Amino acid sequence: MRKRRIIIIGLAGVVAIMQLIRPERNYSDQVYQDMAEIYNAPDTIRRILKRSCTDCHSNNTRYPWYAEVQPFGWFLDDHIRKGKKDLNLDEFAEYSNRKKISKLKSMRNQVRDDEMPLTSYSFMHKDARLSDYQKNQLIDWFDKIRDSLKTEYNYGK
Amino acid sequence: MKYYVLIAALVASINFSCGNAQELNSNSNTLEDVRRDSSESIGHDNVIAEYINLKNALASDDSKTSAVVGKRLRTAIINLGKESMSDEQKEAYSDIGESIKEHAEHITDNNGNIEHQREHLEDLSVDLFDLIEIFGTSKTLYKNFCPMKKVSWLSESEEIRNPYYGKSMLTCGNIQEVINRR
Repeated sequence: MRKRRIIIIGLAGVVAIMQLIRPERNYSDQVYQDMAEIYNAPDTIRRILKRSCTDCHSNNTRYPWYAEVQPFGWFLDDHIRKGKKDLNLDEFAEYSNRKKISKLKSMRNQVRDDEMPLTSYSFMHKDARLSDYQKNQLIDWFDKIRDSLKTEYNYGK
Repeated sequence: MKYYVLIAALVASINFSCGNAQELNSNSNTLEDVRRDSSESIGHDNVIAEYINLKNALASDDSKTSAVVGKRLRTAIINLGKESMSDEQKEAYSDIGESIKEHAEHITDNNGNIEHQREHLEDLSVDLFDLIEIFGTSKTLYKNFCPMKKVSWLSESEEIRNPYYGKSMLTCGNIQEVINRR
């Protein structure tokens, strides 16, 4: 009986200590020329990007309440880090032409295959889910940019 | 007992933050493999050789081998960066090298998803053509075209073995250009 009490107190202690380890927030007050800006995206596209993409693929995340509770905050942090490493829409302008062209294809394919937005993300953010119509809008927009960059830089001639 | 649990939690959180470091360490094995296998050839030839291994694995519908070769390709491109280069090569490397590395990583991460691996081969092939333009090749190579996907790939022989489809359309494609050794 006594042993069990110690275990429970121990676990509570661990959970309490976990709360002290907080990942740094993905926040920047800098103003970026993001991807929507440099390619003059229509409002429909801007809304989709904001709702479904930029929480993990930009330098500013709109955090949900459970980000305050560990270990959920750690998982979120891990997703955001990986997301930004693979694609950062705020820093898209700084990518080389080769990288831009290559990323655009990955983006359109991931949207086409429902790999993005992540299921775990759209499960918590219902409004992030993309309808087939929205998917097509996004894909067309990505393709248009990719094609014009390919022509401009004579890519894969 | 209480301390025991606390220590376990600490160890768990340290592991959590060191996951990437372990991943990097496991690459050092393949680093030696590449050096041993090709002690006589130079960096960009190793990159080309691993690309050829990769496209052959994809043509054989072998996702697992593709993933393994992806790791070797990553090592080969990193090693190329350690060699001395002309200014033009340096500039090309900083752009093409980063791209090849990223495609290689995704091909390794997508073991089991061969269609995704093949998608990365499309842009990876463009990177290889551009790399060869700057660095050259010690062997004659062939640039082939896949009319279905409208993309190219590079091969070591004239035989068409389409890596974008594998056995479902293995011999589909045609030679676009012969790249002579230089």
